[in-house]
Amino acid sequence: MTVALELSGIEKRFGARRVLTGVSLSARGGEIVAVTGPNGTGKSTLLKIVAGLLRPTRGEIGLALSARDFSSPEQRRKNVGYVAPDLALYPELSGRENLAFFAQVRGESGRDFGRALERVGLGGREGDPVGVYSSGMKQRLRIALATLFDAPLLLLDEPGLALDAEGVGLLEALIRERKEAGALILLATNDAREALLGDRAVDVAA
Amino acid sequence: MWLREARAIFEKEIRTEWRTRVALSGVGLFLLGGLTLIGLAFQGRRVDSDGAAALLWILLLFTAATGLGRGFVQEAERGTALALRLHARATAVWAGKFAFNAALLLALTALATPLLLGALSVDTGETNFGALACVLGLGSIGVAAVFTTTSALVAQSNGRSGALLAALSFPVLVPALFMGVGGTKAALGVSFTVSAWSAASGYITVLGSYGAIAVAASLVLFDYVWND
Repeated sequence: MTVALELSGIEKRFGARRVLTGVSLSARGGEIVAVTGPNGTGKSTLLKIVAGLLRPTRGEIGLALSARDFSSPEQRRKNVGYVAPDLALYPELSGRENLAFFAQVRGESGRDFGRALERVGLGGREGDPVGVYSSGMKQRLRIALATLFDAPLLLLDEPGLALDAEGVGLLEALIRERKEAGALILLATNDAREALLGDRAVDVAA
Repeated sequence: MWLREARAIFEKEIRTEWRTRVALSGVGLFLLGGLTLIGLAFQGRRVDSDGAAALLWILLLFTAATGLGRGFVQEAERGTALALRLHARATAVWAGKFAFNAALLLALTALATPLLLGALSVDTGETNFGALACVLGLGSIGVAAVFTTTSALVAQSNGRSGALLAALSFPVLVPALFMGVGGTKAALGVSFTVSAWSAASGYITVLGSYGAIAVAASLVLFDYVWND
């Protein structure tokens, strides 16, 4: 499935405060775009807009999958894998139960949850409640959920947050794997090393 | 597809509630405390159907406010609402949460009603229990629908206060409470000239319509509440 994303003049205001000022971007599947910029300039906001979780104040978003239009927020939400620091999973449920719940909601219960958790290094802890996970383990679980459905558009907001060296290695391997599978990856980061994973960078503050 | 989404959310609500018992312990304490105070205050004296109907609906209203108002607020406070918004349709989220709230309130109503009528020594000789079940069941469904939607509105506000929940819910609930109290009195056998069923049927029709309108309006409006 080929994916193409087109952002044109995206602006976002929260009341009087303007966060994004006319961000434009054109990207295709198999590409990693690092989204950079100082704190508070709207990297996370931009990813939320692309994910269909926020509406832009101004601007157009186009998402095409195999030349078919999937631009509405509802369609975009179904086609993105999303990792963000403010995205939490249910602490009363185990890692496996969380993945199974979201897969059931999406009608994709046949996914291999054990493998998804193994790939992020949570193989031995899949039955533990997420409430007892460390910050790094919760981040690994977010990554497992984002990559579980092989979404053609992967939106990663500070994906290396709280990860140890092994976790960073697993994350980078997963990002490269999804890129080779033809996914388009937007990677919002302040980490210079992480930004190097991008084929190019877009500075939202520029 | 939509039903499967709603069912998954309903099952998740049951599982998470069973493990934390946040709503159950809150409503259980309120119900137990309310029934104990009412029992101590009346000390076995017989209360007529007017008083019993009013006390029953006071108990149900505040129990519902204690237990049903937290659903969406908790999702917003913990950050799980984001994941839910990403993966599920808004109306399916509402339907799953509503089904859980309605089931909880119906179970509490079934538990509280006989205990309260017993504590107040209400004469049930003329009571039509089918009509009483219809009034309380339909009333509970309407109340659950309103609290489910207002809980989502409160969760989207920055204050997320309980006062906002009460201020939003109460005006919308007045017709249901009015009909609920009237229907309960009628079903308990307040009228000596017509059967309890005849007396209650008008209230049952209005409560059924109220519940249907509350559910339909919530489903139509919820997408805007949830996604904006």
